[in-house]
Amino acid sequence: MHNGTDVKYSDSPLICIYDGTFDGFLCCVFHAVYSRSIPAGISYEATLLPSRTIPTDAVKAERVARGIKEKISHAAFDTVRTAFRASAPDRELLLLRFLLLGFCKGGAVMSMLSHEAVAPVMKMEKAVRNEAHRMKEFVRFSDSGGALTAVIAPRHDVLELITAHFSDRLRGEKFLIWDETRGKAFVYENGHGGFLFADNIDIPAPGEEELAFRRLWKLFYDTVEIKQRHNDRCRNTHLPKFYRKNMTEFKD
Amino acid sequence: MIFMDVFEKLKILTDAAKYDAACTSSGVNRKSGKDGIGNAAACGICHTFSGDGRCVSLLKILMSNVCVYDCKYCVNRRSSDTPRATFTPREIADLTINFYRRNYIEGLFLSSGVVGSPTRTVELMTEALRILREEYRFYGYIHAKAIPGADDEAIRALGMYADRLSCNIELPSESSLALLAPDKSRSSVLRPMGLIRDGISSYGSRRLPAAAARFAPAGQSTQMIIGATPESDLKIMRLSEGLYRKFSLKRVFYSAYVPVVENSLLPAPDTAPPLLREHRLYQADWLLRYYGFTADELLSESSPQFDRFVDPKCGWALAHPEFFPVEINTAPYETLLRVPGIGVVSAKRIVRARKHTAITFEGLRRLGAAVKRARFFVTCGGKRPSEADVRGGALAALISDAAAVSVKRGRQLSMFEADDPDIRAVITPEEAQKCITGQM
Repeated sequence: MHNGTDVKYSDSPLICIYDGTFDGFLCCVFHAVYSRSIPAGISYEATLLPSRTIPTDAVKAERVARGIKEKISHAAFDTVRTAFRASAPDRELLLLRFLLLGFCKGGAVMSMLSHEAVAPVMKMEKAVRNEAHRMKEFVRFSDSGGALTAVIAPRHDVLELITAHFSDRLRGEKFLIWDETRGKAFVYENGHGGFLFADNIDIPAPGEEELAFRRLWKLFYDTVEIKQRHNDRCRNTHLPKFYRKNMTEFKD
Repeated sequence: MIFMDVFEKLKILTDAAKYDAACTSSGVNRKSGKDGIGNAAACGICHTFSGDGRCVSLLKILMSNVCVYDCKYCVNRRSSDTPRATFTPREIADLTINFYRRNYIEGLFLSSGVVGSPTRTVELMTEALRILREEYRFYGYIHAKAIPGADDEAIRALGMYADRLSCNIELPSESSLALLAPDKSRSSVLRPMGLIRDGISSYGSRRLPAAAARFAPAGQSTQMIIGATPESDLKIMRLSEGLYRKFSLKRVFYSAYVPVVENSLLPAPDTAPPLLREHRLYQADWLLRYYGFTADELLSESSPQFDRFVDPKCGWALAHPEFFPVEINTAPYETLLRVPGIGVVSAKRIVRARKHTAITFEGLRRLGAAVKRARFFVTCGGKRPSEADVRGGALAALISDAAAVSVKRGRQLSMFEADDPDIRAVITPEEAQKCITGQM
C-alpha cells in the first residue's frame, strides 16, 4: 500500500464490476490504488455503461486488508467492514474515497468526523450498528418442537452482528435465525453455530403451547399501553412499521 | 400447560402495573452461565414499544393487586372496585422464562400491592425471583420494587436476586404524600432507599450463579407522579437533584398523572395527563445528569415552571446571552455542552474532530450537530452564520418539535396556561425574539 502523503488519483470513466463480496470490494480498492484512478462507480450489478470487471482474488484482498490495518488502523478496518454491510447507494465508492484519504492521513482519518469523505462512512456504520441493535430488540422466536426459530428481514446485512449476542443468551437452546431477504440462516446447537444458505426453509407450524404464549404476549402488549397517552408518532419513530411484519405482537 | 386463568391474571396484573414509568433494563453487563439462560446488556434493550410509544423492555407486572393501603391516586387502592388477582411465584417465573426464550422481553419487573403485610409481600416476591435465579438459572435482568414498610432483612434478600431495586417516592412533597397516601410517609419511602444505597456498596454473596451474586448491581431508581399535586417544577427538580446526590440514584422517573379515580383531592377524571410537562422534566433531568446543570440554574423562585415553547436548555441559553457565542474550535467540552443543538455525542465528536481539522458550519452539520439550533449560539473559526441564515424563523428553530406540535393542535396543557397567576412562562416568545435579534 502507499504511504504517500499526496498521491494523485485521476477520475476513470469506467465502472468497476465485482462479485458483491467484501473480498471483491477490497480487490476494487487494490485496482484503484495501483491504477491511481477512481472509477465512476463500483457495482455488482451488470451495467450498459462502460465498465471493467474486477476478479476477486483472496491474496490481493488479504494484502489490502493488512494494508488498511497497518497504514490506517484496526478500528478503520472494522468501520469499513461494518459500513460495507449497509445497503446504501454508492456504498463502495464512499468507502473507497474514505480509504484513499486514510492511506494518506493514517489513523487520524478516524477522527476527521467533519470531513466530506469521512462523515458518510461513519453514517453508514452507524446505520448498520443501529439496525443490529434493533434486531436484538425485535427478533421474535417461536418454539417449534424444542427448537427456537426466528425470521428477520433487515435493511442491512446485520445477521453476523447479532449471532454472538443470541449464542450467549440462549446458550442451552437450539435456535435458527433466518434472514429471508438474503437467503441466509444462522443455526446454533450444542454450543456451536454456523451459517447456511438456501432459497427457502420450512418452519414447522406452531404447536398449542407456542400459540398460547403468543396470545399471552399479545395480551400483555395490548394491555400495557396507557390508552390516555396513545401516541402513534412516537411508536413509529422507535418501532418503524418496516420491522413489524415478523413481530408476534403485530400478527393476527 | 397453561391454564386459562393465567390469561385473566396477566390481564389484571399488567393493567394494574402499567402506570409505573420505569422500564429500563440498563446498568449491568453479565454473560450467561454455562448451566443457565440469559444475559444482561448494560446499554439496555427495549423489545417493543406499546401504542403510547413507551419502551417495553421487561415483563412489567404486579404479583398481586390486592392491597391493604388506600392511596387516593392509585387504581389498586383498597377502596377501589376493581377485579383482583394474585400470581403464584411459580407462575411469574414460568411466564418470565417463556417470554424471555422467545426474545419478547429482557427480564422481569416485579412490583406488588401490599398483600397482608409489606414484609410478607416482599417474601413472596423474593420466592418468585429465587425460582428464576436458582431453579431456572436465569441470568437476565430483574427489577424489583421494594415495598415501603418491609423489614430490612426481607429487602436485603430481595436485593440479592435483583439487578435493580426501586421504591417510589410517589409524590414530590411530604404534605402531598400525607394527603393522598395516608399509609405511607416520606420516611417509610426513604428508609428502604437508604438501605438499598448502603446495600449496593457493601453486600456481596455467593448464593447465586456467581456473576449474579451482587446486591442490586444496576442500582436503584424511583418515580414520582407529576400533576396530581401542586408542586412546582423547581421543587421537583431540587428534589431530584437531592435524590441523585444523597441516594446515588440511577434514575428518577416522572409519571404524568393519569386520572384513574374520582376524588375531590385530585384532578378531574377527564383531565388530560400533563405530557408536555413530563417531557420538560425529563429534558431537565438529563441536563442534571449529563450536562452539568443544577436545578437553580434552570429555574428560580420567580420563574419556577419550565417554558411551554422552548426546552429547558434553550431556555437557559436565551436567558444567558453573555455566555454566547461559543467558539466551536476552542471552547472546552463543558461549554460546548451548554449550546442548544449540541448534545453529549456531538460535543465529544467536536472535541475529537477539531484536533485534526478546523470545523466549519458545514463540518459541524456533517458530524451530526443540530446546526439549525446551534447556529444562533456559536462561531466557527470566528465566523457567524450568514445573515440570511440567522434572519427569520429564529424562534421557530428554537421551539422544540413537541411543543410546536401541541401548540399547532391548540392542545395546550392547563399547567402552562399564561393566565394562571402562579405559573408564568420562563421566557415569553417576545423576550426570546429580543434575545436572539439582539447582540449576543
